[in-house]
This record gives sequence, structure tokens and C-alpha cells, in this order.
Amino acid sequence: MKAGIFIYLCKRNRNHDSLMKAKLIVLILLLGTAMVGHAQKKLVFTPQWTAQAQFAGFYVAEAKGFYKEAGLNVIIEHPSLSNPNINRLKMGQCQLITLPLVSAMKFIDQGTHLVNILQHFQQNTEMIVSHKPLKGIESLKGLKIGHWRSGFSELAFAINNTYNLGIQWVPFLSHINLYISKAIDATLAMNYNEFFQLKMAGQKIKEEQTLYFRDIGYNIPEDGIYTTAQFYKTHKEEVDKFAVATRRGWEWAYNNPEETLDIVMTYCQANNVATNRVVQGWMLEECLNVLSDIQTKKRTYALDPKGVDLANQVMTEGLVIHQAISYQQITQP
Amino acid sequence: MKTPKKYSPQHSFAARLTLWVVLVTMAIFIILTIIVTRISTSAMMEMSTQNAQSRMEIANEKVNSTFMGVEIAIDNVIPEIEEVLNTPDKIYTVLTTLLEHNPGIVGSAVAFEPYYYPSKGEFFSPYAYKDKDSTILIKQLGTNDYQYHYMDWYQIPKLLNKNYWSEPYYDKGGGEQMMTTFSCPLYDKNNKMYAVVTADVSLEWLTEMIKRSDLEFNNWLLQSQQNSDDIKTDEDFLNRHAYTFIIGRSGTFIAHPSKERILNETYFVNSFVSPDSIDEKIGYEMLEGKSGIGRVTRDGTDFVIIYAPIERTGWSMGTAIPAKVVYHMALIVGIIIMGTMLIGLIILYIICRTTLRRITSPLARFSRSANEIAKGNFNTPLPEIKTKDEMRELYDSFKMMQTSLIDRIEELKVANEQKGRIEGELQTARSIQMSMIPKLFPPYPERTDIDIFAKLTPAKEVGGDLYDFFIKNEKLYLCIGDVAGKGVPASLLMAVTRSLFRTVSNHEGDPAKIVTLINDAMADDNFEQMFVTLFIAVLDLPTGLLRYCNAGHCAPITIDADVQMLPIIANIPVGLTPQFKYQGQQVVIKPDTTIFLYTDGITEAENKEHEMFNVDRVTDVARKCIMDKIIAPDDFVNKMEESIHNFVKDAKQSDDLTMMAVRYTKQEEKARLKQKITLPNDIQTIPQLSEFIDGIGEELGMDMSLIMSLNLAIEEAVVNVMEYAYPPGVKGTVDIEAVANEKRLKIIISDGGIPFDPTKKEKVDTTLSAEERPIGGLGIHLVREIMDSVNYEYRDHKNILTLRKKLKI
Repeated sequence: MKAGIFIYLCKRNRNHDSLMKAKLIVLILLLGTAMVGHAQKKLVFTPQWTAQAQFAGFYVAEAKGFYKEAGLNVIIEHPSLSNPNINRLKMGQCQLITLPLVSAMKFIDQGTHLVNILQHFQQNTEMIVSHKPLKGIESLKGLKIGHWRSGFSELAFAINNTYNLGIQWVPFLSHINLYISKAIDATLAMNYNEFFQLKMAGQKIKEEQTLYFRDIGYNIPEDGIYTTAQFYKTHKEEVDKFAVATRRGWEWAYNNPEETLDIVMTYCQANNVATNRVVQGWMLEECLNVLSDIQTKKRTYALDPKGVDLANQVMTEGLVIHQAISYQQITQP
Repeated sequence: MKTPKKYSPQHSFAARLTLWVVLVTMAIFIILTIIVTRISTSAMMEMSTQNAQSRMEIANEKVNSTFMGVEIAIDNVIPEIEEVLNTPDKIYTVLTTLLEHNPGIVGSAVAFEPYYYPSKGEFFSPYAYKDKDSTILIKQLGTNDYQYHYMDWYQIPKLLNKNYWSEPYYDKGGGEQMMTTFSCPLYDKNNKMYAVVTADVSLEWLTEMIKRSDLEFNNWLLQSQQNSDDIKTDEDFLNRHAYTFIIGRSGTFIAHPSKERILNETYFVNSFVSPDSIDEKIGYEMLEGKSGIGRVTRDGTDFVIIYAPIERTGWSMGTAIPAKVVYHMALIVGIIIMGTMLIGLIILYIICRTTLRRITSPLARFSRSANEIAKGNFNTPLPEIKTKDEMRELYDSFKMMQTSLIDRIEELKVANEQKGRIEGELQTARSIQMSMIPKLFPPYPERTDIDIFAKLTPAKEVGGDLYDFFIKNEKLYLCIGDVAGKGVPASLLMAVTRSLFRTVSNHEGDPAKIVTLINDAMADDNFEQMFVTLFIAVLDLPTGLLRYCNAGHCAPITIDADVQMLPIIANIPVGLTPQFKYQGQQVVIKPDTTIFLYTDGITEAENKEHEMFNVDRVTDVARKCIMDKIIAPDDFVNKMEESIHNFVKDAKQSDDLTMMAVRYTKQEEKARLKQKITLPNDIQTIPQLSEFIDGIGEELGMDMSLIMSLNLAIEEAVVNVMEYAYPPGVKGTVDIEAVANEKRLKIIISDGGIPFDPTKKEKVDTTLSAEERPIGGLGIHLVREIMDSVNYEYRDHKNILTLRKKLKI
């Protein structure tokens, strides 16, 4: 089976050095094999979505051996679209996950004590794409808007509640077909993913058909790495090492985007994700952009307290969380 | 004779004509090929387009019929489902039966709304499906891991309230194949949707159909016989083959020769990587369900894309034909034409070359014959021509030329002989002509009073100029003339003129009369109207009296201390008008004077700028000679000739050049004796005369016999004057003057009587008896016999008879 994937990947290489990819695959397989015999307990990491460039830093850290160098035995396991990674975390199927800040805060509010161990995305990339032009938030009133079934929509819910927009939310798993088939009026989208997919699907989207949350005052940081407070307390050293190695992975990706894309594509192919290099290239570029703070342009990999404050304000006003969650609460076990 | 340079074979007439024929034909062929290739390109494009459209229509029809069959099957099964709603587990049986009766359907579910059957929980979706062995299996589809309520196939028909064909997807858990699902929402009596019934349809047949169709299309396009195993759908395939693709409503490739693009890539990825507005437009139109044709670059290849919608599913099908494949076909057509043309040209070349060589081969032989003829072999045989065409005409012309040449050469030989003879005769004529004129200079070396030099340079072999001179009775007769025209006729007239001058002047001393007589002689029977300009002069050497008559000739110049033109009366040339009375003139020439006579060849000598030497230059040269003390006649003439040559330089001599210089250098010798006696015209006074002569004889120391002879001669002359000078009864006088120097005695007898020239008396025929002789005639005869010279002139109304006798020293 592994050899089959290897050959398959070799055949799929259209524009890039097949040897490079073959090496990467061998490396991944060797790492997997090595980990079986590793003395340490394995550390399972589950990102919030299927394999794509959104998690490039993690793939790089694994593929380039940063985790191994840190003495970690990390396994990356992607979730199914209908079963969010938080479920896996709760059930102990994984120890580390990624979540947008607002999702993490909602889970904390609901009683799952999560700890942010690294905040890699410093900006907000969420947006609404509409068939009809949008003139501010008021234009969203009464619209039938799609949102991810598996989460990440808390900010949109909060805005809906705050402005009493009466949006009819239609959950979807992953595809953009709801929007394309015009079964909905608009859809939530990540600018690095669904937005680009829509464009690649031949949707003529003009600027006035989009509404970025960051443009209307909600530039709340997104993806960060979370673990349970319990696990953090008992495995602090491993978790910290994971955070450091992951940060190293993102830095390497930032500095080597082309090779990073090769690595991303091998993960996509290994996980049978229907995608292509162009889509993943766009996504990687956008994700590498949001590593930096929009004002300082620095990649801090730390959760900004102001971001937490803004999230608290929006989420409480929007009735998504019951009470504000302190910075210590989200960053300390 | 120089043989004509032999041409190289490639420059032969046949080779050049062949080359031109081939080149022109080739040019026409190339133009035709370009036109045909263009037309065939256009036609190929049209045919390819039509073929592609036709194939797509077939595929579309197949998709339509298949999908319609599925829709009908679902339509038919809905009542059965509704019948068993109360016993939900029977739905499995209904679905199983559906699959059994519809081989096109590989799976079917009835997915209920959450908690439709509270006992079944949130998810209840009976599902029947075929495994890889086509065994029909059943299962309940919904689980926490497969929350079908959020699947497109469930959600979209629910939201849209209408049937829905899903975007194709890859069935990972079932048949491992690409499928699409037809969803039909079911509604209860309250029109509330409670379930969605689905039918999964495999698209493997569609992929196979397209693959097979593409193979046929490519075999037709490329004129090849490939089978599906031969075709490797790699990157290079896309550049070399036409292919069909289908995109879904989201632009995702559902069918494409590159498998990795199926479900992974959309049509618009290409235009995102390589922006192309036309490509993008085609994509948009395909999504909008439009048909059309466009030309775009995809995957680095120029394609013609023909597209049309699959209306039932909202998909769109396109056929991409590499432009170069179409051009390849046109190129094949072009190559076939070019190949045919090349073979045709080679054949044409061979035929042309062979035929032309055969046709033109006589030309080479004609050329050789012509060379032989040119070498003088006039009887060289000509090539045999059997055809009746231009070559025959050429042969006839050559033959005629050959015959004519032989005749002409013969005539030329005769003409050359005649010319040689004429040239010889002309040379002889020139010798004769030159012999007619004095050419021994100085002519009178013994004389100190006169020196003459003359030169005649004819423009042709024989000229029309003449000059002549002689001394008779101490008178120098000069003649210079110019006959109108040149050559033999002129020279003949010159000879006649010269003879007439000699003849007439022998007995006539008056230049005007001499000219008049010559004119009368020449004007008679002058049908050719030839004429001659003449200047005739008689210089009395003892006195320097120059009597002359000009008949249309150039005025001579006199050179002493100065240069002067001799005044002349413009008489007409000689030979034109019979009985014309020419007027004479006279002038006394001082000693040490040069008289320069010339013809108009001198004054009209032209240089290359057509300037004439003219009289002014003649007088200038004369003045320069005075300054340079060039006084000898030969020096003077040579100087004049040199000046003329320097003037005309290389210009051709157009007229005879004739010059004559006469240097008169009479020096008065001291008289030993000078006596004079005047007698009345009475012969009774003759004794006084005898006494006068005796006295002279004695004073000069003559012997008696000479004195007697002298006495006899002078008496006879004086008696002659006394008897004839005055009319009978008229008294007059006769003057007898004797002048002697050391060398000569001169007796001058003059009277005022009627003009009478005793020298014109006929010479006495001494053979007659005294009674038979005319009176007086004997006296003149005696005078001539005794004296050295007898000279008569009528001057100043006087008859002057001068007798000279050398004295013995």
C-alpha cells in the first residue's frame, strides 16, 4: 500500500521534481516506521480540517524531522468533515488540535478547558461571499447563508446576534456546491480556501460581493494550537517542544514556500484530498501572510491579548459565550 | 580570327529555357500549394469542428437517455416507497428491486429527515447498493460520521425543492468509481419534505465512451490506427491529440484524459496560472450552458475548443483539438501536393531538357558551321534539318547567307582589286599632279633678284590647289589657284588650269587677259559647273612692277617692313561665266618685299573647336617673321605651316594647304652708261639712231659685229614703231634710252602712239621668200634673234619696248 502511494505520487508529479517528492514520501514513511519503535508515547495532532496548506507548518515540522529532533513522536491525523477535531480531543483520540480563537473560546465557555500553546495565525481571514452585492452588515439581513457544520462560524453567529440580522444559517460540510447551485444566498468562506475555490469554480465574484470580517472591525486571530489543560499539565515538556517544533516548521515554510508546497501536496495526496497545486499554492501564500501581525508585521506565534479582548467583546455581545474568558484562562492550564 | 567563347552547358539555351519553365511552374505550384493548404486547413478545421460537434451530440444524447432512464426509474419507485412508509424496513426491499431492474443504478437510498421515525433516531436512510461483483447489499447510511443531512445530494434538492443531479464524486467506500447521484425530494400531504430518494449512477461508462470516441476521433484526425492501449495519457498526449472533457457546474473536470485533473481541478485553473480572457470566457459560457467555439492556449498548446452543454445535469462538454493537429492534416495535404509537384517538376525538367536539347541541337551545329564560315570556309556543310519549323527557316537563312557571303566575298575581291588599282592610279595621279607644279627650290639659284618657295599639301591623295611660276623676258609669271572640290576631278581641273596658264601666259603678258582667256577656255562646255579661283600676277623683275588679276581668290599679302594686304578687285572665279572680262591691277613692289600667296586652305584651317586660322593669324605670323627676321621664302612658308599645325593640332586636314612666298630683292647696280635720244616718227632720222648706237657700242667697248647686230635690232624696232605707232600723217616722237651696267645693256623704246605690241607679231617663216613674208615681221624676228629678251608693255599711255643684251665681260 505504501509503495503504491509512492508510485502513485510519482506519476502525479506534473510540474515538479518527482525525486524530491519521492524522498519526502520515503521520509514520511520512515518517520512513521521509526515512531513505532520510539520509546516515547506518541503525540497525536489533529488539525481542524482535511489536509491542506492551512497546516503547512505542521507538515513541514514532521517532514523535515523537527518533531523527531525535539524528541517527539508526532502523528498527524486529520478529522472527518462530519466529526470535528474537538470530539477527537475530548475522546482522547488526539492530544493536540488547531482551532480558531473564537471556536476555542466557545469550547472553553462550554466547559472544555483548552489551553493555547501557540498562536500562528495572527489575522482573521473569514468572509462572506454573496451572489448579490453587499453594502455593509445590514445587507446580510434575512439572507440564507451557508456555514461550516464542523465549526469556525462563531464569529459570524455573534455578528448575526449582535446586529439582529436574522440570518438563516444553512450548515454544510465542505463543498461549495450549495452556493454554486444557488441553494443559498451567501456563504461563509475562508479567503484562502473556499473563496479561491469559488473563483476557480468560475464564479465571477466582484469586490462588492465580499465582506471581510477583519474589514468591519473583527480582526480576531484565527488558528492556534490547543490542548486540554489536563494534558498540558501532565505533558508540559512535550507540549512545549511540540509548539517550538511547529513554530520552526512554520518559519521554514515561510522561508521555503515552493518546497513547502511540495510537502503540502504530498500530504493532500496521501489523504486523498481532491485538490490541485494551484489551489494549495494560493492557500499557502495566504496562510503565510496571516502568520504576521497586520500592524507590526511580525510573526510572534503568541496570542495577542488584544485579540482575546476583541473576541470576548464580540462573543459576549453576540451571546455565543456566556462570559468573558481571561487571557490567563486561555493560555494557562 | 578569334573563335567565339564556348558557353558552359548550364548556360545553354535549352538549360536556361528549362530552368525558366521549371521555375515558373514551381512558382505556380507553390502558390497553388499555399492556396490549397489554406483551403484545406480551413476545411479541416470545419470538418473537425463538425465531427466534434457530432460526437458531442451523440455523447449528450447518451447521457440524456441514461439519466432520463434513472429519473424515470426513481419516479416509478416513489409510489412503492410511499406504500411502505409505514413499514420502513421494507424500503430496503423496494430499493433492492429497483437496483435489480435498473443496471444503470449502482445504489439507491431513501434518506429521511432527522427523527422522521423516532425509533430510528436522527439518521435513517435505507440504502441498497451494488458491490464490485454487482451483488446487491443493503445498509443504513446515516451515522455520526456520515451526517447525510449536510450532504449536497440531500441538502441542495431540499433547499431548492427540486430534483438534483449532484456534482460527480469518487465513491471511496463502495465501488471505487466516479459516481453522480440523482436526488428527488419526497413531500408529505402537507407538502413538507420528509425524505430524499436517491439513485447513484456510475460514470465509468461515460469515461469509457469518451475515451473510445476520442480514440476514433484521433484516428480520424491523425489518419492513424491506434488503439486505446497505445495511448498514454501523459502530458505529451495533450499536445498531440484531440480530447473531450466534461466539467461540472463548479467547473470541476468530470472527464479529462489527464486522470489527476478529474475531480481535483477546475477549468479555470489554467486561466489563473496563464491569464487568458478567452479561455476564461469559454469557461464561463460552458458554466452558463452555452455552445460555442474558441481558440485558446491550454497546457502550452494552441487548441480549438468546441463546447456544448449537457442540459439535463448542467454539465458542459468540450472537445479540444490541437490546432497543430488540424494544421498537421493540412500539412499532409500540402506535403502530398508538394511531393506530387516535385515529381512533376522532375519529369517536366527531364522532358523539357530532353526535348529542348533535341530541338536546339541543330543550333550548336549551326554555330559550328558559322564558326567555320567565319574562318573562311564558306562551303562548310550546314546541319541537316528535316523538320518544317523555325529550324528549317534558320537553315534556309543560313544557306542564303552562305551563298550571299560567297557572292559578296567574290565581289569584294573584285572591288578590292579595283580599289587597289584606283589607289595605285591615284598615287600616280598625285605624282603627276605634283610633277606639274614646280617643286625644285630654289628655282632660280643663279638669280639674286628673286627667290621663290612654294608648298602644296593636298587634303586627299590628289588635290585641287595649284601654283606655278616661270620667268620669261625678265618677267616672273605667278599663278596660284584653288579648284572647287577635291579628289580626282579637282586635280584634273587643276591640271587643265595649270596647262592653260602655261599656254596662255606664253604669249600673253597681261594677267587680266590671261585670266580672261583661261576663263573663256574653261567656261565652254563646263557642264559640271566646276570652277577655280585664280590669282595670276606678272612681276616685272627689272622694275618691280607687279601686274595681277584676281579671280575670286584670297588676297595675297606683301611683307616688307610691314604686312599689307594686296588690294584686289572681286572678280568671279574662273570657269563659271564665259566671256567675262576680268579686270587687272598693278602695283610696284619695292625691293626686299615678300609676296605671300596662299589658298583658302590656310585661312580656313580648323582646329577641333571649329575655329578658323583666318587671315588675321596669317598676318600675325607674317609680322612675327618680320620681328624674327625670318625673310627667306622657305623659312617663311615653313614657319607659316608650323603655326597652322600648332593651331589645328590633331584636327583632320579638311582642305589642301598651298602657300607660295616670292622674295623680290632687286638691287640697283650702278649704271655705267645712261644715254637718251628722242627722234620724230620719221625714218629719215634713222642715221641719228645709228650714230647713237654706235656711240654707245664704242663706249661700252663692244666689238664691231655686236655693234652692227645691235644697230640692226634697234633700228628694226624703232622703224617698226615709227611706221605703226602713229597713224599715217600724225607726227609723233620715239624715245630711245640706253642704260648699261657691268652686265647688261638695256634699250627702252617708248612712244605715245596707239598701243601696239610688236612682240605679238607672228614669227617670221624664214622658209618663205622675201616677197611672201608679211611686212615688218622679219624685223621683230631679227630683234628677238639678236637681243636676249624683248619685252613690251603699255604703260602710262605709252608703248614701252624693252630690249636687253648681256655684255660680254
